[in-house]
Amino acid sequence: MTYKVRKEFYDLVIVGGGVAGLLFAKRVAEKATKTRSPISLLLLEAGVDLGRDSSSYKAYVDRFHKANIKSPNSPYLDNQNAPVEPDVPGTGPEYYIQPEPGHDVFGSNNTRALGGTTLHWMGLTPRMLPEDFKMHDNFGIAVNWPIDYETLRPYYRQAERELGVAGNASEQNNAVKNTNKKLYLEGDDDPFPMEGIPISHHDKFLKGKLGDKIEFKFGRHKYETHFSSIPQARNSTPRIYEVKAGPSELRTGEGQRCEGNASCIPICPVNAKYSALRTYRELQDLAKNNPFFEFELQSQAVVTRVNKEEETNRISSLDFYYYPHSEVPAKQFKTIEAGSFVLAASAIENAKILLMSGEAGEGLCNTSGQLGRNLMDHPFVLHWGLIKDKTVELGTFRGPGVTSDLPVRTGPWRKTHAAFRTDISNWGWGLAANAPYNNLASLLKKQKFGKKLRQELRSEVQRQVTFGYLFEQLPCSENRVTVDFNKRDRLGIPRPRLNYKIDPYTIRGMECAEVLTKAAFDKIGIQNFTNYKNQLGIKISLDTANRFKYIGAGHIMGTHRMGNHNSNSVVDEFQRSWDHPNLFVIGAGSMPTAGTSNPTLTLAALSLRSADEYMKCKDMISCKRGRCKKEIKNA
Amino acid sequence: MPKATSNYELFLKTAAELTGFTVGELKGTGQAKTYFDYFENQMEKDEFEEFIRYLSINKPEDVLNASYAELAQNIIWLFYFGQWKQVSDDAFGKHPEKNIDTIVSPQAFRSGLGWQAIGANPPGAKFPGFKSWTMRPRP
Repeated sequence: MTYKVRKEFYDLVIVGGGVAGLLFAKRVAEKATKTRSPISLLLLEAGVDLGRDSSSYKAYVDRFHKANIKSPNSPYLDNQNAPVEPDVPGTGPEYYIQPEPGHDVFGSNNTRALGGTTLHWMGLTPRMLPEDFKMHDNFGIAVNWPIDYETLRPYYRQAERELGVAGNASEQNNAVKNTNKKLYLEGDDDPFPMEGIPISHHDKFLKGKLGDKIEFKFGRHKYETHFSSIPQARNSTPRIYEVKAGPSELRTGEGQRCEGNASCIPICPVNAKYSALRTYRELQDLAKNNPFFEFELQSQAVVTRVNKEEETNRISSLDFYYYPHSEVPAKQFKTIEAGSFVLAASAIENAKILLMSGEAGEGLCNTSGQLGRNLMDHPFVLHWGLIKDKTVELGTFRGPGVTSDLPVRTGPWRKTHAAFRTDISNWGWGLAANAPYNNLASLLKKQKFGKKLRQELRSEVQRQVTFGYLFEQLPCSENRVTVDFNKRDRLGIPRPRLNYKIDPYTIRGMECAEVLTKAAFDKIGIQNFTNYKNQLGIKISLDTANRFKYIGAGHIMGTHRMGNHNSNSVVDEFQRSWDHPNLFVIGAGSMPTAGTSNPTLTLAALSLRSADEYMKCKDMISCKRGRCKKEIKNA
Repeated sequence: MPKATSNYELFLKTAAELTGFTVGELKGTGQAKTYFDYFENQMEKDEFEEFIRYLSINKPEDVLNASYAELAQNIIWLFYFGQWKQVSDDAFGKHPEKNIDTIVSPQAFRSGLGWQAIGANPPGAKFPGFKSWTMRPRP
């Protein structure tokens, strides 16, 4: 993309073209239009701007099909001017500097391109539970959020519309059956814009064997989990066809209905799954012939620091490198001024930008000392097995990757170990053991061929079951992102150094999940084949018995936590910097605790809430010199 | 009939026995000639003739158990998943840079019969349609 920034000053600059930044921008555009208060907005994206038209989107699909390793980032450009950690270690230059001796490997990366990590996400959108927001009050551990579930409830609902979520509300209340709370209210019945994605033949078989609930014991606690469908941002059958006039038109129907392509990760070829490219297109539509919303996207622009005004502590400008070509490291230094700024570049990049700012690398936005700390993920542990009855055909490798869940998400036991949810995979041992390729390799080793080869391959793959457990992780100040000024990426920007460790609370949760697997596998008639020896995954340093290996879930959280005071948190409840009144730092990095929900829906809800707050206070925080209004008059 | 054509047919006949799909199904992938060429272009003429001759006079179980085993297995890998697996065989060495683990092309991946063999469709291609995953897998 060419350099398109023509103005020296914008009302608002957003850094990062992923779901957080784009939803913030869209909400701002809608409100500016509605209230007739003009806003100029510049969106800076570090990566490339591809996938918006069908030919470059198809090039993404082709790259996935051609890739030897079909990992989450395989369709997208390997762009060393805006690098990410390789999906599979050793398959590209390292980006993170880790691990420190005695620490664990942080297993999650993201995507740096327009659309962000929603390009390759699975699309699962469970809400967080009421108890997740008050871990300290409820269980005496971790910290409370500065807001509660009720505060976020309306924004969850709005985020579900923005993302086009398909789901069944009644089943989701299963996750909180053992509390007196409800995730979805009566009358709020079926808030989802689309009917639930039908569960797979695979899941129907398991559910038939398991019944509605599984009970098991672990330690001194009793557990009960219900086989439930899971909400996801994937087109099914719309419940809502309402088309409102004007720019706030509900566009849940963009893209086709899910066609069962079985490739949600890394890419949906028919755009049935939400990606932030959809919100980008909506934003472009909003900007068309709109006197109240002026919008510019500048991709290939990597932000290196934000600069503050000494006397007011306001952020006055930010610096970035623009690179004309993704293949070569040539770069141009640029600075842009604005009334307000939003960092929405992912949890690690947000922390990195702020840590690189300030005098001599002391960092900005860090009165609390919490910046970069409390890095979290949902360590993802797989258990897999084969249905013993050789006549069974589950229908593996078809449909969306996950249609059902076994939630073990809250209970009094949470004082002692991590909660979790379960991705019941529709794709056999694909992730666990590289099926069906490894199955073919081992049959060829046995010199199978012809019809017999076909039959045996089918019989093995059709009976494969994988439970993928996503474990809650507690915030820990020693799990942190810092910046290494001695190790730089190709553009010369310091790379992030990560300190990360899985603690006993999470490991104990993993032990609990083993009991659930045993109970479920026994009841269904599954032989357990879990064997971490050859599995691609990360050993846990504290797990000296080598019982578990985990994979990063791609859920990077917690590096700029929100809180109720500038002494304990980086941002306030609106994700506004405590230190710098015209700076918002948004995304999963703001989450004080991780809960067990895939974080995208929550960060989407938080983004919308922050955008509302920005629109309320923008005149106060941004127009110190009245410059933005003057600028618009001149424009 | 030119000799290349008959070599191609011999290749397909063996490929059908190895993969468990018919010659018609193999041709239906649209990739059969590409795969045949892949071998022909990578091997010296004499080696290639010998390879085809060997395939045509031996039973599949013998082919998979002898010096050409890796090459024969790759016939299966290509038709199943559009994938070439690196072989140690010197005979396949005219362009060493091509003898690496690789998927021949996006189209080759999309045409893989391995997915049909397991009752599924290639991921991200030939989509089976809404709700298809709720039904029994097709036979």
